[in-house]
Order: sequence, then C-alpha cells, then structure tokens
Amino acid sequence: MILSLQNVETFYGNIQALRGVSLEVNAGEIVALIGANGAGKSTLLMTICGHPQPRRGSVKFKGKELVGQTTYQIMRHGIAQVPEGRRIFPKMSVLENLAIGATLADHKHYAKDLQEVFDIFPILAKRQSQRAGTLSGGEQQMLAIGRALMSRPELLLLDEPSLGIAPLIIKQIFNTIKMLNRERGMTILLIEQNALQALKIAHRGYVLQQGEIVMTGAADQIMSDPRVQAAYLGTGG
Amino acid sequence: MKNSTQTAAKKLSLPHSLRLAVLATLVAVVLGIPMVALGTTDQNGSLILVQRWPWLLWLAIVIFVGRLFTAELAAHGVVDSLKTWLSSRHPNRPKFRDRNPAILWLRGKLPEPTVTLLLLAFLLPMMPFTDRYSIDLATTVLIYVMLGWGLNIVVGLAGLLDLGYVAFYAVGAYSYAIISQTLGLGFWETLPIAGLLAALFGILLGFPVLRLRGDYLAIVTLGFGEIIRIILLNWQSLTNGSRGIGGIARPEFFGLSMSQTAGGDSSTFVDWVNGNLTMIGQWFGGSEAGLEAYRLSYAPVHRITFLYFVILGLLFFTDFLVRRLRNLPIGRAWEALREDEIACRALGINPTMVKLSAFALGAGLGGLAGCFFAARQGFISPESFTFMESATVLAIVVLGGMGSQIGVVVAALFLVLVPELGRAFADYRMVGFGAAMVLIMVFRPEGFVGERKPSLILGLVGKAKSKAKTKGVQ
Ligand SMILES: Nc1ncnc2c1ncn2[C@@H]1O[C@H](COP(=O)(O)OP(=O)(O)O)[C@@H](O)[C@H]1O
Ligand SMILES: [Mg+2]
Repeated sequence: MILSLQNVETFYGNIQALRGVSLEVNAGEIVALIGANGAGKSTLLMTICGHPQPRRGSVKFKGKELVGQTTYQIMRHGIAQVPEGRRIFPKMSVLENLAIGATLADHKHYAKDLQEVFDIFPILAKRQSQRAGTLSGGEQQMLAIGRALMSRPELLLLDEPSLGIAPLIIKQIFNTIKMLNRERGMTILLIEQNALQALKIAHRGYVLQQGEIVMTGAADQIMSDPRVQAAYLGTGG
Repeated sequence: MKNSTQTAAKKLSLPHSLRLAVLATLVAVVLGIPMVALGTTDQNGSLILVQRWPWLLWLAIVIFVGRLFTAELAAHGVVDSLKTWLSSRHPNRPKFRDRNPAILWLRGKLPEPTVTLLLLAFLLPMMPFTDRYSIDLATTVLIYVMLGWGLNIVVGLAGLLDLGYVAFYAVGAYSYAIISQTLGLGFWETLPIAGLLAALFGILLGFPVLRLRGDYLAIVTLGFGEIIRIILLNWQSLTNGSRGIGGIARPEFFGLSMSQTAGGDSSTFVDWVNGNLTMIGQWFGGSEAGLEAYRLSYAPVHRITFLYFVILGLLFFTDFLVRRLRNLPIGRAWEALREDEIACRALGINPTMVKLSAFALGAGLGGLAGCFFAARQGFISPESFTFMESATVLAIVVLGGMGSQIGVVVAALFLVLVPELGRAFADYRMVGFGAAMVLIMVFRPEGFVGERKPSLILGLVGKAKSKAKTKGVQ
C-alpha cells in the first residue's frame, strides 16, 4: 500500500467537501475515483497534496504522514500531479515546461527522461520550441502528463485528463495511462467523470458522492453495478 | 526515503554540526599555535619570539562559528537546494562555441543582441562626434538599463509588481556614501557590499509580501519605497537628512585617481600614463622634449569616460548574470511562478524561495546601480530617490516588453533620450512624452520587444526523432 487516506474530512470554510473519506492505492495499481461534478474529486486530490489541508483524518504516503506538510514538500516525496485543467505554463515553450517538471529530479536523468517523454508523446518533440499555450487541448494534456513524469514520480495523480478533449485523443491518452501502468509499473490514481473509460483501464475503483465514498471494489465489479450503470454509465451500460 | 533522512538530519543536525565545528577548531588551534600564536621578529639583528595568543583566540572563534554555520546550512538542505536551483549541468545548454560572443563573431554570427549593443556602446567614446555631454547622457541611459534589468527580474520574470524599487537604489547609494566616508573603503571594495546590503533589504521586503499578489503587492512595495526615503530624510545623524551627503569619493582605476590631483599617497591616472610613456619612449631612444608632444594632460572628460566604462562593465556583468540565471532552473522557476503559482507548488517548487531569490537579486542589482550613482554624482540626497524613479524604471520594463533584456535597453534609450531631446519644447515636453507613451501602449501593448525567447533551445529534436525511429514503439 503506497497511499492511504483514513477518515479524511476537508472543509472550505464551513462547507464540508469531504466526509470521512478512506481510500487506498497499492503499488502498481490504477485506481479510478469516479463521481459527478462537484462530488469532491478534485478536493480529494488536492487534499492529498496538502492544499487545502484536511481538518481531520490522515493521509499517508509510503507510511509517512502527509497532513501538516506544505504542497511543495509533499510533492518532493515522489508524488506528481496532473492538475484539473492542465495548468501548463502557457507563455513558456514545451521544452521549458518539461524542464520545470524536472527541477527537483536528479539532473543526471534529465536527457533520458526527456527522451522517454518524447517517445511516449512524439508530438511534444515536434512542438518542443512552441509556446505551450498555443498547443491544442489534447497536446496540452499530454504536456501536463509529460511534465509530471519528468519528476520521476512513484505515484501519479491525474485529475480528469479527459476534460474538454476530443474523443479520439481521450482514447489515446487513456491508452498512454494504461501503458504507463502496465509497462512501466507506474502507480496511478485516476480521477474521472468519464467513468466508463476510467474503469476500463483501472484495477479498482471508488465512487464518490457528495464528499462520501459510496462504493468501492474491483473495476469490473463497479462497472457492472446497476446503480453505477444508472448514474454514470447511462442505463444501457 | 528522502523525507526520513531529511527530518533525521534536522533533528540531529545541531549536535553533529557542533562536533564538526569543535573538530575544525581543534585543528585550527593545533596548526595555529606555531603559525599564528608564536611568531618571530627581527630585533636589533637577533630573532626574538613574539606571542600572539589573542590572535589565536580570535582565529578559534571565527573557525568555530564559521564551521558551525556552514554545517548547519548543509544539514538544512541549503547546499542541496542551491545545487538544485543553480545546477548548470543541463544537457540542453548551448555549447561554449555557441554562446561565447568572440567566437560567435569570428564565425560570422552575431552574439546575443544585448552583447552586440554593449560592444557597440564600448565604441561610443571613441567616435568623432562624441563630446562630454553625450557621454554623460549615455551614462545616465546605462544606469537606467542597469535598474531596468534589475527590476526586470522581479516584475518581468517573476511577475511580482514592485513599485518601490527605488528603495534598493537608495540603499546602494547611501551604502557607498556612508561606508566610504566612515570606513574609508573605496568604490570597488564597497560595490559588492552595497549590492549585498540592497539584496538584504530585498529579502526584508520579500518576507512580509510573500502572500500578496497584484494590487496588494504593488501597494505594499510602494509604501516600502516611501519608508526608505522617509528614513533617509529623518535619520539625520547617519544620512544628513535632506541636505544629503556630499564629497563622495570617485571610483579609482586600479588605485589610480581619475581626478586632477590625487589624495594621499596614490597618483593620478594622467601622471601614471605620462610616466610610463616617458619610460617606454626613452627605451626606444626618444628624447624628453620629443616625447612632450605625446604627453597626456588632464581633462575632465577622462573621468566621465572612465565612469562610462565602469557602468558599461557593470552592465556586461549584469547581462551575463541575468541571461545565465534565466537558463538555470531558478530562472525558469521565476517565470513559471509568474505564469501559475499553483502549478509550481504542484511540481514541488517552493514559491517562498523562488520569490525571495527574485527580490534579492533584483534588489542587489539596484544596489549596484545605486552605488555607481553615488560615486558618479559625488552628492546624494533623498530627492534623488522619489517614487518618480520607481515609476520610470517600471515604465522601462513594461515598455521594453516584460522580461526582455534587449527591450529594457530600447526602452531606457527612449525614456531618457526623448525627454532630453525635447528640452527645446520646454513645458510641452512632458505632454509630448506622455502622448508618446500612450501611443506605444496602443500600438505595441506587449512592449517594444514582446516576443519571448525560450531559455532552452532545440537540440534534442533531431536526436528525439532518430532515436524514436531506431527504438521503435516500446
Ligand atoms: N476553493 C473552494 N472554495 C469553496 N468551495 C469549494 C472550493 N473548491 C471546491 N468547492 C466546493 O467543494 C465541492 C467539491 O468540489 P470539487 O472537489 O471541485 O468537485 P469535483 O472535482 O468532483 O467536481 C463543490 O461543492 C465545490 O463547490
Ligand atoms: Mg474537479
């Protein structure tokens, strides 16, 4: 078990966004966290990253307590995040974006890691001197993932990588996420509204509803659950 | 893993550092007994032993404190973090032959535009049309370029709106004025001190404003600029208040005075040149009278030209420093912070450290400019450091195109020369100047040089393609 949350409660002022959330991610897994808009998925991811801090509960990464640490400290333990809405650095070039991702990694690996990111997303190699803000949405998402990979994480947190992206590209990005896990053994927590796609590549899943985990189990189990089918996958499945 | 070793280091660092410090002190004392505490002097032809135990004590104290300090710095990851942020072991850095201006030029390529311009500026005093007034004016332009480059780090690169930049200029200027008059240090010794003091003030300002952004940051920095000016006005005993400080020593040229007469036991530049001229001339068999024609006689323009070369030298240094830093992780972090602070945190970047370094460096460069300003004017008073100066420098950065080195040069030329050329129009010149600024912002909202040059250059494109091909899909 690489990441574990126990009874995490997060508030925005007086509004409670997470209600006693417990969640586990084992090394080598893809865990999908699905839920409707406003369920608290991003809040959960950001709570892991220490911003906002949970009011109660504990977040442990490889056995160490993360609660109380600042975001930049937490990210240095080997966690990388692909934030909601990508948040690339628009005025800087693709190459610079990737280099910033590598700031805290050992410089020895830089060339090799860059090459690997370019192998995974060849389009980034072609666009490397282009301003990141001029990339298409899908390319920006690839850049955000590539930037996260440059820090050599042990755990990758992805917040809705399919948001606002053309279906064909979504497929490609999910294939990449699957490849990262299956071939490189990357541990991934995948947050998605796009439940079907996410559960297809995940090993296990959690369903978040109004700040509470309402269901958990193997991915195919969740996929075939009638309540999930009705709520997230359309009645037909 | 990393964390546990780090916290362990923190918990245990003090005893460990103390041990290191004691060890270093012991070594110093053992070596110091024969080398420092005991010495020999010659007295009436016979060697006698002198004892200097207090010296040894001082040595021990300095070594102990110094070693403790460096050990603590290392234990708290400061050394590691410096390695992270200033590491230039970047495989994407251009090769030496692609960045050295002389080699570039020999290969028929122009070096960086700023380097090219500075090299051209070097020739200015040698032009036939150049007179005392134009060199003086050019020096003013160069001071503003220096200030612009300093503020550019804070505003242009790190995106922190600073309306009180003049404070650091003032700190640099007063540092030189006060240090040279009380401690008797010269310009070149004081220059780094003034820069460091200003950088320290930059950090002092940085701490309270770390959480502020945009408008709030602007207001607080504006206040800071005013506070410094008011302190300068009211701390009579140190700054002489509104009457200012006069008679500030001029820079020397390797110990040679650039004035007409030299004070103390130093000699003037002119005398030194003439002395050497005579000596060399006589080697070649010239007669004293024949050489007379070649002798240099003192002219005020020498000193003005010398000052011009001094600030030009400072600019070469600054340009190199800033361009270099921009290519290092720290420089990229400044720009990333300007673009998206939250994304920076998510990448493990500590915004506090990044912001403080930008403040410190920008302020330090302002301090260097201030030190030069004081040495050039020979007289400073709080009047030279009003908000108007901050506004002018900020205008230079914005007009030049935020973050652009060469843009600052263009804008400084424009902002200093246009009002100067407009002197003939007397009262209307500021109106015309304002109109010109408005027009520029209408037609070039990004500034003169709005295009941002990436800090990393292609280089892996070819490699990436060919490797991808040979490796195939993994
Ligand atoms: N910064 C914030 N301040 C106050 N409320 C917030 C903030 N961010 C999110 N919320 C609220 O918390 C709840 C969960 O939001 P979020 O985690 O973004 O959901 P999701 O990512 O699942 O769409 C929502 O009701 C949202 O309005
Ligand atoms: Mg969300």
